[in-house]
Amino acid sequence: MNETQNTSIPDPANDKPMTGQNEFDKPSSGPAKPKAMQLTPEAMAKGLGWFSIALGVAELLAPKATAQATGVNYGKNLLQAYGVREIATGIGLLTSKDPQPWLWGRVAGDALDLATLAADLVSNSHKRRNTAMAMIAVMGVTALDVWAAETARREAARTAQPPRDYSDRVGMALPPDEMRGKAREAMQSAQDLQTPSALKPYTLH
Amino acid sequence: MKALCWHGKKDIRYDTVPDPKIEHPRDAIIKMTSCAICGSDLHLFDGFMPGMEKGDVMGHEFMGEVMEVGPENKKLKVGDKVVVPFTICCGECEQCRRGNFSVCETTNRNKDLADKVFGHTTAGLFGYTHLTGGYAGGQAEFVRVPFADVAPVKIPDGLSDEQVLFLGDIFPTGWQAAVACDIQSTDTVAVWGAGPVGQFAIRSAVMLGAKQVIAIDRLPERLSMAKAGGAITINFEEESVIERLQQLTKGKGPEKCIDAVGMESHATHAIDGLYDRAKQAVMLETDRPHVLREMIYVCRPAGILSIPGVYGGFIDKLPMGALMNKGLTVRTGQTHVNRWTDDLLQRIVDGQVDPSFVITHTASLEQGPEMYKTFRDKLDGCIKVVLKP
Repeated sequence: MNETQNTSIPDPANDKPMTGQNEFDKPSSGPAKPKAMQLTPEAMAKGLGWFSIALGVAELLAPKATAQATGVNYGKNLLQAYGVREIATGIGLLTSKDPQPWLWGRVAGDALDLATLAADLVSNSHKRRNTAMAMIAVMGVTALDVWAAETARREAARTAQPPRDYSDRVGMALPPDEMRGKAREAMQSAQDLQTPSALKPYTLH
Repeated sequence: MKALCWHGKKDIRYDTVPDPKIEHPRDAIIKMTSCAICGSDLHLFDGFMPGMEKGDVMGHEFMGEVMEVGPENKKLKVGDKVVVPFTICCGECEQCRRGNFSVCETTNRNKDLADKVFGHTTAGLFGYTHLTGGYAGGQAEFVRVPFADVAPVKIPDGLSDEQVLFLGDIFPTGWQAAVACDIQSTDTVAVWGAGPVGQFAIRSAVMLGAKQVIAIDRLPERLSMAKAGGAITINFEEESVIERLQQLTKGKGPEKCIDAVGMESHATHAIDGLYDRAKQAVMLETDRPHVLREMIYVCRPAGILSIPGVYGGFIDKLPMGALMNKGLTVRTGQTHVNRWTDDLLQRIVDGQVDPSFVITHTASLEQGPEMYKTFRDKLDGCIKVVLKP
């Protein structure tokens, strides 16, 4: 080790911001910018709502093309009826304050789709591969719908009451600022959990 | 006797099971007076940990009164009040002699299974899958404690169960997480998860001298408790964790990061969480490592990642390149509880710390199944549940 090394510990308070990082050198009291995307239950419901409407419009206005694209063998009328159902569910998801019933409605619709596909799988021997692929896709969507509905249910239950305030639960004999560093001697009992001397920054030796 | 038993995913029952008996001369039988539901119990409840069997008795955070001791047990006597650490250790193997109690080489009755899954066995644990020995847990009226002449911590008179119960798990777990950070007085310590272990990690980091402690969670009640313990709080549903941490550290990142979340990080606030949840659903991934990714990304180069959060199996999309190139140190493991219990018990006796601050719900053992749901869904402001027989 170099004997002439600086032995004082640098205080981050005196650190200059990283080069090119001046945007971070601001008071730490204010919140950062809101996140661009959050998958909250509301966001998931909205996403599924738009998905429902897009699928419903396709089924309603272009049943034949939709059937070919998705590999399902429903009759035109049945596919259009399912399209109306999808659009109604989508509108419900996008406009309702409580998305839960509409999410469970989507799950029920998924079950109906799977039942129809299963019947198709049994009766139609020509396009079994297409039908099986469609079933796998619907199962995936079903899993997402169930998860979204369950997440919404839990969040609704959790937020039914105002949050508790535990700001009086310090858990220490004195306020945190007065407890800071009170246990530093405990580090002596954990040498294997400390950075080896040779690997420490020179300034910490 | 009555006990809380696992019967499958989201299915915990208050059952009648046979009373435990002394099976080895070093054993003791404990009459449980208080036990707790731990966050890691939720991994069993949610069905994410393999190796559970129907009827397994749950629980690894418990204490009570000694009812019976084996003939070779010279440490305990009938009537002693003890807290039982969740790690079962022999005190004699090489790892125990080094103080690495959570990787004791002899107490896992299913060593062969653990050898296959993890490469080498770890210690036996109470109520935590057959991978760790299949020992009956402490959410029961009576508990058989193997190697009871080693780990159980005798409690002096004058201390309540609520003050000392958490010496068996979450207090030393939070403490070890902070100690593993090798905290310097100039450090910022960021703690992901303000659940019970996170709360103890926050207070431990303060007491070990961190200049700044930051807690990351989404639940207002948890964040209010974290703030009470001295943390600056970040609600990840309201602001960007990365941006806020950069702000608080002048763009340099926290020197020390603690993952007090583990394998079930919240899955709906980030794209990668959704990805992990989908892979988990079809068994292509066992754990959700969003917190690990975020810690690696935001940690100051040459910093330390301390991981007390439980992981059970496999993860992917871990930014190994960032981990390596930034020169980060990773410290993790189940808690070597008995390394810390003497010191922490003394701190409780001295009044320096009162761990009961974290208890929000107390209920009877019979109400356990319902309390699992309350705790899992964070209902009614629930942070920590204590159960009484």
